[in-house]
Amino acid sequence: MRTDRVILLVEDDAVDQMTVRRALRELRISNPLVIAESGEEALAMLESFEELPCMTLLDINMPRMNGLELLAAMKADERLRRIPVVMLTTSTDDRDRFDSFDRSVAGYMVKPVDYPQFVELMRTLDLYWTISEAA
Amino acid sequence: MHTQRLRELHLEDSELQRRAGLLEDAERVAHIGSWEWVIGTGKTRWSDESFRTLGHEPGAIEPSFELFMDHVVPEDRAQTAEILERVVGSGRGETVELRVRRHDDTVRDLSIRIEVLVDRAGKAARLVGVMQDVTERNEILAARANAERKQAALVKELEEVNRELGEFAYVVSHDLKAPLRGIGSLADWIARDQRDRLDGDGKEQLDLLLGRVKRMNELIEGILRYSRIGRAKEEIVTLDTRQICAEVIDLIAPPPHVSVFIDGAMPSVRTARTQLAQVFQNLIGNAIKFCDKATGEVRVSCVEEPARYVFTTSDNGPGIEARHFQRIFHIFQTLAPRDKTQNTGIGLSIVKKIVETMGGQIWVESTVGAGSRFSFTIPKNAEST
Repeated sequence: MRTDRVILLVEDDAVDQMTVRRALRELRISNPLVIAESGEEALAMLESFEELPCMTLLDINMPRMNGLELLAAMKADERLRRIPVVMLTTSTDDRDRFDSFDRSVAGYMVKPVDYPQFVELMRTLDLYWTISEAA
Repeated sequence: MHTQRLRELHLEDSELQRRAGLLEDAERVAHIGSWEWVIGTGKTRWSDESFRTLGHEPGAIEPSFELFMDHVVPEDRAQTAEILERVVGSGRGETVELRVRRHDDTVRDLSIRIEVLVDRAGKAARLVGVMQDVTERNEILAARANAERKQAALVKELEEVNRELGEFAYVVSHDLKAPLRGIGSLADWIARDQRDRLDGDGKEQLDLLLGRVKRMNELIEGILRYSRIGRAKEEIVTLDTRQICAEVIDLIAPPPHVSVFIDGAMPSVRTARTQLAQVFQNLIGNAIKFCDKATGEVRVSCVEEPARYVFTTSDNGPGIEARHFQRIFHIFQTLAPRDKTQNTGIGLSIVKKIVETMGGQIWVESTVGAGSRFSFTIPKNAEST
């Protein structure tokens, strides 16, 4: 990552939270990881942050406010709309992909079944957001 | 001379009787009764079948216009009178459908044809026509309309069920894959973190566990791919099948010991590109995957028939026993032991579904030990995906 700001992970599954945490540790990505377990919690956190996260990783399938709804809410908010949002999902359904890009998502990653592949995915994300400027 | 004439008259008479009898038979068989009504005098004549149509013994009652109208059910009387008036006024014949209550109190549907005969002054003099009991015909028509309605409802229901099945596949992808991925990750971490504490057995078991996770994931992905066929509408384009095959072979990158040939002319067809490519990829890919010879040979060819193209992929692989010919096209059916090949048993079911949604058929011929021939057809006027 280009900055040392926090990474916000919005994910309700404990193993998936562990997966991200572990992958970041393994890749020595030092940005603090903040976890919200629902869309509502994530929005509340984003409101309270003094410094916005350098990236938000979003699961689509969550109870109540799901990832797509949270994405729409963030893009409708002037303060939050420039945070790069990457969907991190099991869904390979075209509709979810289209809906995400219609809402200006920065990336759409399908969670691989095996962990080593997930580490590779996170490595690539980190590399990209080290090279790329952010707004 | 006189006797001669009498004999002739007698013959004519019997000829007339014979013809009247024939007509009567024809009316009885066809259930069509004829009738006549003289407008001025009201004189009415009914044929035997007309009497029977209204539930009377022939000649048992004096026919009249009033008697006929008494038989017409009250609801239909006004309309019947109106049509009669119109026919008399215009001189043009008409057909009227009405219901009558017969002498035995049963209600029947009649179709009545009315023609007008005019006198020398051109004035309507007589009405003649036929009456036919069409109750059964109407019942059949009603039953047919009912059947069509039911069929339409069934088709709608089927579409609904298919849509629900698609939704179901979507939900399955989320709900089954999430815990599966969890199991996979946890097993992987145990294998890494506890490496020093696990013995050979423990490591092997964890490896097997990870293998099963991968297999289950492939099955779920397969169900998704299968359920998506025909859901996303793909554009129908004209495709050079030789080029598609060449691209597919290129993509598969056959191992050095297997050669893939495209034999003879390959036509251009109108169909969906990725679907056709998927069919070739599965068939050629299977032929390569199951190759058990030192030198494998896979041949793709096409035969043109009047209404369709028959594409064939043949190999010199292990072959398939005839008793499995149907089974291999069903979802999740695989003939190889599960842990020996990377095979979920979904490929051929997907191929079959694609071929059938394109309006074609697929079958296999095979000799155990010598090889298999998979053939599928594409109709020449295929415009469906």
